[in-house]
Amino acid sequence: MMNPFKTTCQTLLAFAVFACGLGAASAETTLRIVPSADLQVLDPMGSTADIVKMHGFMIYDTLYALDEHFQPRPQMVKDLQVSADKMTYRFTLRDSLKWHDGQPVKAEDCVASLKRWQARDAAGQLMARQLKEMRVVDDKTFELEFKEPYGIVLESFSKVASNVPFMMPKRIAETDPFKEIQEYVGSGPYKFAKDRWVPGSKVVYEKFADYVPRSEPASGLAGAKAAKFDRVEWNIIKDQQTALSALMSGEIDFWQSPSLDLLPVIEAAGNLTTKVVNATGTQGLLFFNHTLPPFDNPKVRQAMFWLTNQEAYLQAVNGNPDYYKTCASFFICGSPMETDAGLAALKAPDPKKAKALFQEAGWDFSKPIVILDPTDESIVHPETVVTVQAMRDIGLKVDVQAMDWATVLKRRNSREPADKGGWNLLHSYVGGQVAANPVWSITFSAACEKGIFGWPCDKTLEDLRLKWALADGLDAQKAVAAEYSGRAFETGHHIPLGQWNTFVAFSNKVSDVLVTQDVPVFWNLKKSD
Amino acid sequence: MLAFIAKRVLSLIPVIVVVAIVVFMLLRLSPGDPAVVIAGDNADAAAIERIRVSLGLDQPLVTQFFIWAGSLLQGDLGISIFSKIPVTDLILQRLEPTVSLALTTLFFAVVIAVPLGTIAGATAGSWLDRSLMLVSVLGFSIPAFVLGYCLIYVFSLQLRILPVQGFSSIRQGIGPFLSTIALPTMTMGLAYLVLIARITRASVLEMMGEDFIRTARAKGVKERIVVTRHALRNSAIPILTVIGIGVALLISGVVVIETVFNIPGVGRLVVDAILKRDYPVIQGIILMFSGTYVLINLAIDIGYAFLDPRVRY
Repeated sequence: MMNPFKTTCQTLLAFAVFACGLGAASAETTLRIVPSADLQVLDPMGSTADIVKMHGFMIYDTLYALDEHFQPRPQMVKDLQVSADKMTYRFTLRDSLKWHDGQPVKAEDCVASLKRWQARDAAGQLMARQLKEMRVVDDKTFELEFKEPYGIVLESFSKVASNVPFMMPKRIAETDPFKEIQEYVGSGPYKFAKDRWVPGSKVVYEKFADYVPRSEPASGLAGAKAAKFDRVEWNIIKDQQTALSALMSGEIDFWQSPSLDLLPVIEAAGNLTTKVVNATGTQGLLFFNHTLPPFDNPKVRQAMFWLTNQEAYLQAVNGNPDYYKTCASFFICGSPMETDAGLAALKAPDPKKAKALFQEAGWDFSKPIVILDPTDESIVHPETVVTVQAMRDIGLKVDVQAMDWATVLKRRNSREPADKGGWNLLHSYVGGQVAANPVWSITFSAACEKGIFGWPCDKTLEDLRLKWALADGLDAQKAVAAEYSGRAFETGHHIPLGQWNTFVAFSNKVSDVLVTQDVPVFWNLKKSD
Repeated sequence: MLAFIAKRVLSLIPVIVVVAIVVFMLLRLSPGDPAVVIAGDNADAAAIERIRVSLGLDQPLVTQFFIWAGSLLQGDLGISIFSKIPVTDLILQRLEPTVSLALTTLFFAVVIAVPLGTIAGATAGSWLDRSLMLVSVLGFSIPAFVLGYCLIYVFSLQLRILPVQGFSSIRQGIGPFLSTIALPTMTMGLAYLVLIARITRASVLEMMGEDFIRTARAKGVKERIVVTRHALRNSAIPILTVIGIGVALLISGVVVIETVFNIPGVGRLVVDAILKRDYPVIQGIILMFSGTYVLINLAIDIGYAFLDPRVRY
C-alpha cells in the first residue's frame, strides 16, 4: 500500500533535484523569447513573413543594413568603390567573415546569394533588369555593372521589406529559388540548432563563436552585432494570457507582440518594461478588386477614399492614441518618402461626396458588394467592420463573408465574379518598411495580372516605380514619390488606413534592446542576473 | 473470446478507410492554400503558383489521393509541407506530452471520482452527497480555459510553486515532469472527474436498491463490503463506458489545455496545421486520433466481455 508521507517526501526530493539542475544549467546564458508567430519556413527567400525575417537576422548577415535613421550602412562590406558614371559598384568584403561550417565567406557566395534574391524579390527583380553584369573579381571582391545609373543599390541591399538579401554559401544559394533550401548555414551572430527545433513549439539558436562584429556601435540593424547569450530560445506561446503570465513569472525574458489591451497589466506588473522597437509602425490597407464592378471604375475607387475615416479604423484596430496616428500618405509617415500629394480626401472624409460619386458612376445600390472578413485576424477583422459600417451608412448593400485568414489568403487570388468565389474588397496591413517607397513591395505594383491581388493596372504607375528606382538622390526620389501618390489616388490604387505602433515587453533584467524600425533583433541586448 | 476480438479488429478496417477518404476530401475541398501561406503577403501570383507546383498541389485531386493512400499503405504519413519533417516524426515528437497529459488526467479523474461517486451513491441524500453534487455542477460549468487561468494565477503567479507553461519530459526527472503536468492535469481532469463521479453515483445508487444487495445485507455482510464488492462491481459497465466516452473528451479538450499551458502536444500541432493548411499533418493526426478512439472503444468492448460474459453472445 502506498505511504502518503513517503510519497510526499519523494516528490519534494524530486523538486529539490530539479532545482539543483536549474542551478547547474544557469551557467549557460539563455535568452527566452516569445515571438509573434511560429517559424514555419526556414528559407528566408521562401517567405516574406516577419518571423522568417527574424530567423534570417539571427543566422544570416547582410551586405548592408539600415541604421535607426533609415540610412544604409556597410555590414559584411569593408569597402565600396563606385565608378564616376555610377554604373559600376565594386564591393570588398570584411576580413574574418566565416560561415557557420567554418569556411570563409567569399565573393562568389555573395554573388550566388544575390542572384537567388533577385529571382524572388520585387526590388531584386528590378535590379536584375537594370544589371548588365554581376561578376566575381577575387575571393573578397565582386562587382555590379548596370546598364544605366541605378540609384538604389545600397538601399536594396539593406532593405528589410519583403525578402531581405541575406547571404549564404554558394552551394546553398544555388538551390532553385522556388524550392526551399535544406541547409541553414549563415554567417550571422547565431547558429540555427536544427536538432533542437520543435516546429510549432521551440526554435533554438546557439552563439556563433567565430562571428566578428563590426567596430561601430549597434544602430538599428547596422553596426556591431554582439551575441551576448550562449543560446537564444524562441518559445512559441500562442495564448496572450499565458505569455503574459510566463513573462510576469520570469519564465520568459522577452515577448514580441503583446496586445495593446494588456498594456495596463504589463505596466502595473512592476518587473516589466515596454518599448516600441519598430517606430516606423504598421499601416492598415484597403484593397479593391480592380477587375470587377463596381471597383473597376476609378470614380468608385475614389469614392471610397472620401468614405475613409482613418481615425475610426485606428480606434478599432488599436484604440490607444499614444500608439497610432492618422497619415494621409501612401508611404508610411515618418519615412523619407512621406507625401500627402493627391490625398486631400483622407484628410477630410466626406461620405456625401462618396455617395454622390457612387451615384455618378451609375452603381445600383441594391447590388451587394462582397467583402472578405477574416474573423480570426485581430487587425483585419476590425478594419472590415469599420468599412462595412461606413458603406452601409451611405446606403450601399454589403455582403460580408466571414471566414478564416487562410481562406482569405487563398480567395484573394481568385479572379472569379464576386458571387462565384471572387471578391470586391478586402483589408490587410503591412510593416512600415514595406510602405516606405513604391518599389520595395508588390503592394505598390500596378502590373495588371502580374501584380498584386486586386490586379491594379496602370502603366504610368509602373513607369513611376522604375523612375523612382533610377532617381538620383533623395530629393529626386521624393519628387517621384509625390508623383506616384497623385497618380495612385487618380487610379484609386488602394487606400492607406492610418498607422500604428506595436510594442515589445521584456523583463526589467533585460537592457539595450535595439530600435530597428522593423522586427526585433536579439544581438546587443543583455540580461542581468 | 478470440473470435470476438478478431471480429471487432476486422471491423476497424473499413472505419479507418472511410475516415481516411473523408479527411482527405474534406481538406482538399475546403478553402485555403498552403502555397499562399508559405509565400507570404508580398508574393506575386507567379511565385505562389511555382510553390504550388513544387508541392504537387497542381495535380488532380484523384492523383493526389492515390499518391497519399499509396504511401499510407506503406506506413508513410507523408512530409509536412512547411517544416519538411516527416509527419510520423512530428507526431512522435509531440506524442509524449499529449499521452502524458491524457494518462495523468485519466489517473487523476478515476482515482478521485470512483471513490467519491461510490460514497455519494451509498450515502445518497447525505450532506456529503449533496456537496459532491454541488461541486460536480460547478465542475461542469467552469470552462477549462477559465479554470486554467485561475489555477495559473493562484499556483504560478501568487504562490509561485508551479510553472505557468511548458512541458518537461519524465525522462528529465519526475519532479520537473510533475511540476509542469500538475496544473494542466487538474484543469482538464475536473470536468472528467465530475462526469465519472456522477455516473458512478447514479450507477451505485441504482444497484443499492437491487435484491442481491438486500440479500447481502440480510446475510450480515458489512456495509463497506456490500458497497465495494457487490454494488460497485456491478456498476462497472456504465463507469467503463463513461471512461471510454471521456477519452473522446480528452482528445478534444487537449487542444485547449495545450494552448493555455503551452504544451507542445499533438493537439496544438493539429490546430497549427489546420490554420496553415498543412494537409499531410492534419491527415496524419486525424487518422491517429480516429485510430486511437476506435482502439479504445475496442478495448472497452473487450472489457465488457470480460466483465459480463453475456456481451460475447
